[in-house]
Amino acid sequence: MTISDETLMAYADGELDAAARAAVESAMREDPKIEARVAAHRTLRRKVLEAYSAELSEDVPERLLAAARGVESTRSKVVNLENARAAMERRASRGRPLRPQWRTAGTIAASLIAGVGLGFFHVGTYGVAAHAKRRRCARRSRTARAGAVEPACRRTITGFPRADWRELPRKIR
Amino acid sequence: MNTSETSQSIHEQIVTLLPRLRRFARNLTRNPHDADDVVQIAVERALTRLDQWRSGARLDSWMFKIVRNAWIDELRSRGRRGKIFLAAEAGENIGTDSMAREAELLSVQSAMARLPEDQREAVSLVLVEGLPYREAAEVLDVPIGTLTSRLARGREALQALLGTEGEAT
Repeated sequence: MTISDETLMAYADGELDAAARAAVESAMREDPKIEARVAAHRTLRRKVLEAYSAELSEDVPERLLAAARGVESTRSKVVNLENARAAMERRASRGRPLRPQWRTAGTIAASLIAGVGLGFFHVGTYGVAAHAKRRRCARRSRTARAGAVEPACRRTITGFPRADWRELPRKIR
Repeated sequence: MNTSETSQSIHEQIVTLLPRLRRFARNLTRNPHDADDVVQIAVERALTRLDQWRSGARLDSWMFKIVRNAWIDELRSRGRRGKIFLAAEAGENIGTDSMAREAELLSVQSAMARLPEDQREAVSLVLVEGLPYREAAEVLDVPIGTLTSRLARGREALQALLGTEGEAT
């Protein structure tokens, strides 16, 4: 009985159904050469897998993490910011002295707003506008003959993009 | 609310897949910078086409396919340059005898880099990424018979390059 190498390979990869598996196993028992060929397939599979396992523990670049997390998470921060602004305006329009417990609440609100503001900076660096810029850069890099990302484009990832701060609220809509 | 929860979990699922997407892209492009660019393009594309992902389908297979298509687009846009690149690679495959002599010294990665593209893709998806034949064939858009013959030829070439033919351990 002859068994094709593709069948032995499929056996080593666990791709055969029960009947075909049984046929290969009985052939392996009868012929040590067949057994050695299956062993060679398994050895190669293991070697290849081992050779590439270290790559999985490398740090993933920030730009890829940001791309994967997408616009969704940054949008909710902006909504929070708008809510905070509206709340601040409502408080200001009341225009009367605050009672002590409101003063405490005001302090908390102020620190919240500061926190959200920091979030806004974060959005400017990693969020929608930066994302759009990266898309433009990616498109440019695809058309560029060199294929590499231009230095100016790389800068948008690490630098603080002032322009993004201004264009963000418009872009988000 | 339910849809946003689902898409949020897809974002995190893609984050989890990133190391494998990069690894696959490196095997495709053989250049870590190209690989990361291609992964970024693919991730952005995937997020705009989430409606095309059937929730029953494997997310990894779907993403591998988008990575591969992004790379094909990239090669097309590079046009002539890509052809020159492939010609140089073909030249490298001349002189099999001397290659066999240095076989022992070759690492798995450099042996992989010498495989023709179609075999490298098949080996990468099945042996490195662990996809079943059916899934790998779908990623490559080929019948399963084509996948298995590419895989068999790729393995044969790797065994010759690495000198593991007939090795039993």
